[in-house]
Amino acid sequence: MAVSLRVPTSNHDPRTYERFFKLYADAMAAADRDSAIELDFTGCIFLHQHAVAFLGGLIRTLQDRGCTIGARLKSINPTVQQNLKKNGFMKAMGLQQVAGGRNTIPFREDAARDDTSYLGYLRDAWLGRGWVNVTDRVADAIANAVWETYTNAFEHGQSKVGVFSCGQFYPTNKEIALAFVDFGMGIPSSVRTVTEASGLGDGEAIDWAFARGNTSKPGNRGVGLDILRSFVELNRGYMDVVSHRGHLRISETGAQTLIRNHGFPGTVFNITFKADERRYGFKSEIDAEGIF
Amino acid sequence: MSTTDPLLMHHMFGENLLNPEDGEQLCAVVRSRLLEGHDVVLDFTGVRIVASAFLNAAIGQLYRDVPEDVIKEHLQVPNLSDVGKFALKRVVDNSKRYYSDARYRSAVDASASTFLEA
Repeated sequence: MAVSLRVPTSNHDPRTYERFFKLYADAMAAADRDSAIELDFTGCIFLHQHAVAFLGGLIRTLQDRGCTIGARLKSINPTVQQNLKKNGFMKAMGLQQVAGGRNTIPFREDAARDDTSYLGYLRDAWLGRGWVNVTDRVADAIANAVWETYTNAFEHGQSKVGVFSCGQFYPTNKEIALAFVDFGMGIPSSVRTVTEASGLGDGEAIDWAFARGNTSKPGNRGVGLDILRSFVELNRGYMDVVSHRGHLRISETGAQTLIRNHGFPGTVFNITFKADERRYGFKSEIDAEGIF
Repeated sequence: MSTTDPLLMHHMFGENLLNPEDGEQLCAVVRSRLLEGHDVVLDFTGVRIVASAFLNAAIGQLYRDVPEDVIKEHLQVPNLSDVGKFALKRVVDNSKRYYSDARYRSAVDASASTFLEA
């Protein structure tokens, strides 16, 4: 008989990540003792983009460990099921599929890095749906900042199962959100390979990775996290980066570093921009004459 | 100094400048022209996405061989997007530190090998 795992509901509470990390820990423990796992959605009334991306990656991780994954379809709340169909998650997981939804940005999995395709996803499926009131130039700037971090997920993450993305448009708040999750070594482990950062805790390590001038990559590369953080802050977006037990939360009230009760080895990026923002860019920070 | 024709990034590499390999190719051209005493103009008209990895390979690595004051005086990057300027500023600051501070360079290189072995 399969081991049953309860999929939690997601919300905007920062502790929502802990519930999914607890699911990850339970799933890994279950995989140690049984190869058949069943997901039970009883009590799950909503799954945000970060939860969908996380769930997709968790399923692939379990499959990579040789597990067979099933789902109690009857336990899935009709609204949740409809959303999972619309964003393509059900199809990706070998279940049924209907046409894409009006407010959904498709679930996507990248077993290997595909720059051109992912830029197309950002420009067309996320930013090109007429929800964002910005010029092509600004849409390119957003895509550029987010894409940098997508590449980081591959270069830093070393995820065996790749990177999982999902998005959502929230018409009430006029917000567009995108989450991507890797199941690799996580930011703290990557940062602690740097001598000067070797003693940092999870939260401090995430702070270090997002600070200007810090990189754990060879050859002086890796400014992507700094770029994304600055872009989100300058344009009054929101961002959660959760890796191991460290959690960097950027919002209108500033940046906070939190420590979660549960962690997981990879990294979750959850980014939200206002869809009606008219002044996107880096202009307030850049002095073109002073670059060199 | 004399000015050579602008190097048109879109014409050379397309609308997305993503690959460090393209950046290295560009770096060789720019390095050679700067060291020969020319002004160099990299025109980014028509470019939509510029990766920091490309900028590091193309411009960041110049600081290894070309004096900082020569780059500052003789390299121009018109029509680079705001996010591109932001990324380039970060790349340049990191490069100056990397190539001028031997202790920092050793630390970065040591961490890189640790990371690659992980």
